[in-house]
Amino acid sequence: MEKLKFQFQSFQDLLFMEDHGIYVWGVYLAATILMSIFYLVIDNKLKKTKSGE
Amino acid sequence: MRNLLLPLVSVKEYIALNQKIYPFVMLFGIFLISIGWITGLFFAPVDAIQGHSYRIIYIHVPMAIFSQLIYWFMAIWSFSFLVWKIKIGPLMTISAAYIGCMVTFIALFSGSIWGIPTWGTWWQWDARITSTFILFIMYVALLTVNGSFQNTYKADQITAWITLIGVINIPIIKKSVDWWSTLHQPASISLASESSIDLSMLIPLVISILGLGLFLFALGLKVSRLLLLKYEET
Amino acid sequence: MNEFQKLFYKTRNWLGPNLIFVMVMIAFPLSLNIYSAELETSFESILVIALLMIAFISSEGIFNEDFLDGSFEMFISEGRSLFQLVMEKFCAYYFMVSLPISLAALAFALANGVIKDNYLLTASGVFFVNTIFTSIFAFGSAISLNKGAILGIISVLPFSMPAVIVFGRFLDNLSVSNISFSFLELLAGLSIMSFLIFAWLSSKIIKLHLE
Repeated sequence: MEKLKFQFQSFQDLLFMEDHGIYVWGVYLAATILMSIFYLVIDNKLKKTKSGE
Repeated sequence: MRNLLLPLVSVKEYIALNQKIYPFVMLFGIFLISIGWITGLFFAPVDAIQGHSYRIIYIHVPMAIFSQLIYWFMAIWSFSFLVWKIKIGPLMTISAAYIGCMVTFIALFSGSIWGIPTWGTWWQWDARITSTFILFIMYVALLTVNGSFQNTYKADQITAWITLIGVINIPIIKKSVDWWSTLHQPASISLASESSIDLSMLIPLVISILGLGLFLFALGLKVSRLLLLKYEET
Repeated sequence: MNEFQKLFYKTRNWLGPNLIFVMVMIAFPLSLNIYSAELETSFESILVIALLMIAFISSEGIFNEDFLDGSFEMFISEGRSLFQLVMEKFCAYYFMVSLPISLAALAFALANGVIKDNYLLTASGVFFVNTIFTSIFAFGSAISLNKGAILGIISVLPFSMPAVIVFGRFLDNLSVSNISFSFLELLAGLSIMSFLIFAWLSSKIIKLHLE
């Protein structure tokens, strides 16, 4: 097993990830946003239904 | 034993249990996901062939696993509803379908983005992608069918039948990569045999899978509470 | 009056799908150069699409009229089995729609130069796959009895995919009759299974609609 250590030298390096950054960050961002929207919609509807609208 | 099983049968007990465990499951799930994703994104070693783009695995694989597991979950509840008339069966099926729909979409989406740097194409009509896409359509279809009947009993019965027949698709997805020679790689991790990826990459993956499982379970609890309130209204 | 006679007098329900199939198969070479090799290569995919389309069109109204004019209710009140009635209906459709279409498909396959021999194999393959599609879409039309056809299609279309895959393998291997024959057996098995399963399920769903 290789040791788990921080893999990037600088912030730039972390952001671009040798030109793969756009894909990696894009996927993580999109998935997080989608799941958050799902959660918020359900939460909102639940509150509305509870208050009897 | 009876106390354990009661929430599975009675709606009232179910709500009580639901509200009790929801915050813990949700928080613990988010905690595990964050650990898994942070180690996966920043600390796991770079893949020799795919470079940094392989880090998408920590989203793609958990989502793909749960897209199929959720369908099994739905099928089991549908079966129990049809055979033993368990009241919360349809509730579980429909709330899982909402989540399954989202999860399958993310699995497809993350897979196609991952395909751009590694395969050079975002879509390929290979066996696994196509059958996952069919799974996504099935989730949407189930929700449409369930939503289009005013009579909830009728809607629940029909949805349960369609869910049960749709189970034939799941083994096809699972085995498609082994049966047809396609672009998609075979599974890297397996319970039965030794995994083909390094332990330092595997640990964050396992943590993300567990975390996502808990998070989705918590979401499911929330959706089912919403559906229950709506059922009571009508 | 039995189901065969009933279907026979409703010409549009069985002649319509047959005519549409012929028209689709005639229409597709018109878009290609007659001498091009595309004619042979695209035949399979057009055939699958045409078969899916026909199965959908022919099974769309399979239960509709009986549901609307109260025949089903009368049938149940007489104490007869709905499952048997649905099976009869399926058989009538296999005989009046699937069988002629498989013969027509054979004729078109010959005309497009796709097969050199194995006539019987091709025709029976098309027949079996068409029966599978018909059973599946009939189930869909049972689901959407009073909701319009689209609901039924979207809910059952995914189930036809395994049959499409097997049929594709079958057509690919037509020149090797050994392999093709084993795929034909698989199609025949699927056909019998889908006949029984979807007939039973359709009768269940119709009963649910009547409650």
